[in-house]
Amino acid sequence: MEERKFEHKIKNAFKAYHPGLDDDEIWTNIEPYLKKKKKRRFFLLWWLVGGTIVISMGLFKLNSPDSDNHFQVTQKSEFDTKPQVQKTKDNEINISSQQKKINSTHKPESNFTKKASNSAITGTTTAVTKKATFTETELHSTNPLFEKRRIVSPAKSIVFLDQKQFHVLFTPHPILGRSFSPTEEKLKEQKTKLSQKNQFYLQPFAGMLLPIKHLNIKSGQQYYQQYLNARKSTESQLEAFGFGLNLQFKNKKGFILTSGLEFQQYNELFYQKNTSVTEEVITGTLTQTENALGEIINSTSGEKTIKKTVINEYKFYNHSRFVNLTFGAGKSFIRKNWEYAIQAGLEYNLIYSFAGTVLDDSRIPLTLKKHDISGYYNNFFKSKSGFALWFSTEFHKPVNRHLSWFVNPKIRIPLSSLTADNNKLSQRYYSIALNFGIKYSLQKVKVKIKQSQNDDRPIDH
Amino acid sequence: MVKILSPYLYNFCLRYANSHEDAKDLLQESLILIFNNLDQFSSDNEAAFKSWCRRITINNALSKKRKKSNQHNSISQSKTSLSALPLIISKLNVEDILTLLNHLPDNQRLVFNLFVIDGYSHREIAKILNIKESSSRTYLTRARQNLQKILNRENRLKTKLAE
Repeated sequence: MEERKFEHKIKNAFKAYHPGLDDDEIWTNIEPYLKKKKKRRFFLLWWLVGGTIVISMGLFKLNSPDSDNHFQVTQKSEFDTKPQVQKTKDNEINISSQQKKINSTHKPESNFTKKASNSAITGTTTAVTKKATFTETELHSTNPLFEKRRIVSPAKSIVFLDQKQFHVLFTPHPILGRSFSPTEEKLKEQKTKLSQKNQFYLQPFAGMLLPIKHLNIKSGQQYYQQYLNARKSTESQLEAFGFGLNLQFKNKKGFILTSGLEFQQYNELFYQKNTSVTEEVITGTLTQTENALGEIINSTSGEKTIKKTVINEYKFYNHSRFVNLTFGAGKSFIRKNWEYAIQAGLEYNLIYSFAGTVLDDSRIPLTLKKHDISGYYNNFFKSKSGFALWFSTEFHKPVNRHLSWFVNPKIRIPLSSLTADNNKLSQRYYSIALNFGIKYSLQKVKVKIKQSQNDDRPIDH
Repeated sequence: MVKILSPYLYNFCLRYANSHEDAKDLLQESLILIFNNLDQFSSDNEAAFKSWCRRITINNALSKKRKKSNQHNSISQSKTSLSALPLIISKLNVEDILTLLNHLPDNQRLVFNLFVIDGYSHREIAKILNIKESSSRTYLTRARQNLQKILNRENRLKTKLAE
C-alpha cells in the first residue's frame, strides 16, 4: 500500500512539474536543422504527371478519326484529245497536243491507335543516417573565445529520409555567440532500415511502345507467299502508345501481385501506289487545215491511238486497339533511396479492334471496321486476341509517404494470332514499352526507424 | 508547437537523462526528430500526436542510453548525495525523485520509469528494451525493493541525526 502511494506520488510529481524552459532558445537551436519543404520535387512530379496526360491526350487527338489527310487517291490520266492543226503554207502553225490532268484527293474516315503497358511498384524505402564526427582539437579549442564545454550535444544519429541533410547541433556560446563547426569531411553514412507493412498501391501510367509486327503465313498455306509479300510491302509500322491503371499489392518481404487494365494502340501506315498505262483507239478528227484568216478549210477524220496513265495512290492509317486485363507477380528490391522490381505475368485481351485498310486476296485495298455490316472484318480479325506474356522491370523513387514516380520498361509477347481462323495470315504485335507513372499508396506507410548503433558523440569536458 | 511540446517532453527527457543539461540536449534532438518526420504522422488527434511524440522521445532516449552503455561498458550514475533528501515522502519534489531514481541501476531505473511513470506494460517494455517479459518484472521488483531500502536507510540516518 505504501509502495503504491509512493509511486502515485512520483507520478503526480512529474505531472505537476513545469520546467522553466526557454522556448525561443530551443526553437533557435533546432530551427536550422529542420528539413525544408521539398517544393521543387512536387513541381517536378506534377510536371511529370501533367506532361504524361498532355502527351497521351495529344497522341489520342492526333490519331482520332476526325484527323484528316489520312487517305489519298491520285489519278493521273494523260491523253491527247485535240486534233493536230495544220496551217496553210502562207501561215503555217502547228498546235501541239494538250494534256489534260485530273487530280483528285479524297479524305475518307480514319481512326487511330494507341499503346499501353503495365508496371509494378515496390514499397519499402531506405533512409540514411548521416553522422558528423568532431576532432578533439575542435572540441578542446584553445581559443579563449570558444567555450570549451559543449552545451548542446551534436544530434548525430538523427535519421533523415532524403539523404539531403545532416544535423549537428551546437549551441552558440551564450555570451560570445560563437559556435564550433564540424568537419564535414568526416561525414559517415549509415543505412537505416525502414520496415513496411503490407501495402496496396494504385498506379496510373502512360508510355510509348516500340512495336514489332509479325506477319506470316499460317502453316500449310505456303502458296500465299505473294499475298504475304504484297501485304508486307503495303503495311509499315508507325508509333504505338498506351495507358492504364494497375492495382498492386506488396507484402512485407517485397513480393508483388499486380492486376490492372491497359489500353494499347498500334498505328501503321497502309500505302499502295498503282500505275497503269493503257492505250485506247478513238475515232475523231485527225487533221485540220486553216487558212491565213484562221478558217478551217479542210479536215480529215479517222482512228487514233491515245495513251492513258492512271496513278492510284492509297494512303491509310490503320489502328489496332487493345484493351487488356493484366495479372502479374514479382519481387521488389531496395537500393539505398530507390527501389526496383522485376515482374512477369499474363495479359488477357478483353477487346481487340482493327480499323483501316488491308489488301484482300486480289490485292485490292479493303477498308475494314469492326462492326461493318459487310462481314469482311470477321474474315480478317478476331474480336479478342487472347493471351500474352509480359516481363517488366520497374525503377521507382518515393516522393513522399504516399507517392512515388516510376519508369517501367516492359516486353510483351503475344501467345496467339490476331487474325481470324479462316485467314491465311497470322499477325502478332510484339512490343517493348517504356512507361512512366505514379504510384499511390492507399494506406499511409508506417515506418519504424532503427537508429544507428554507433555514436561518435564526443565526451563532455 | 515547441511551446506545447517542450514542457511535456522535457518531463520524459529528464527521467531518462542524468542531468538537466543532458535532458535539454535530448529534448532538442527529439524535437528535431519529430519535426523532420512529421509527415509520417497522419492522425488529427492531439492525444495520438502527443503519444507519438512521447514514443519518439523515449525511443531516442533509450537509444542514446544503449549507445552510451556500449561505449563505457558500465553503468554511470549520478552520485548526488542522498543526504539532501527530505525525510517525509510527501515532501519529495521532482528533483528529489530524480536524485532517488538515479541511485538505481540503469536497467531497474528504465523499467521503473517505463512501467510506473509512463504506464507501459511489461510486454511493451520487453519489446522496447529487448529483454524478456519476466526480466522486466524482476527489474521492477528489484527497483521497488531498492527504492524502499534507500528510503528506509535515509530515514534511519536522519532520525539518528535528529536525535
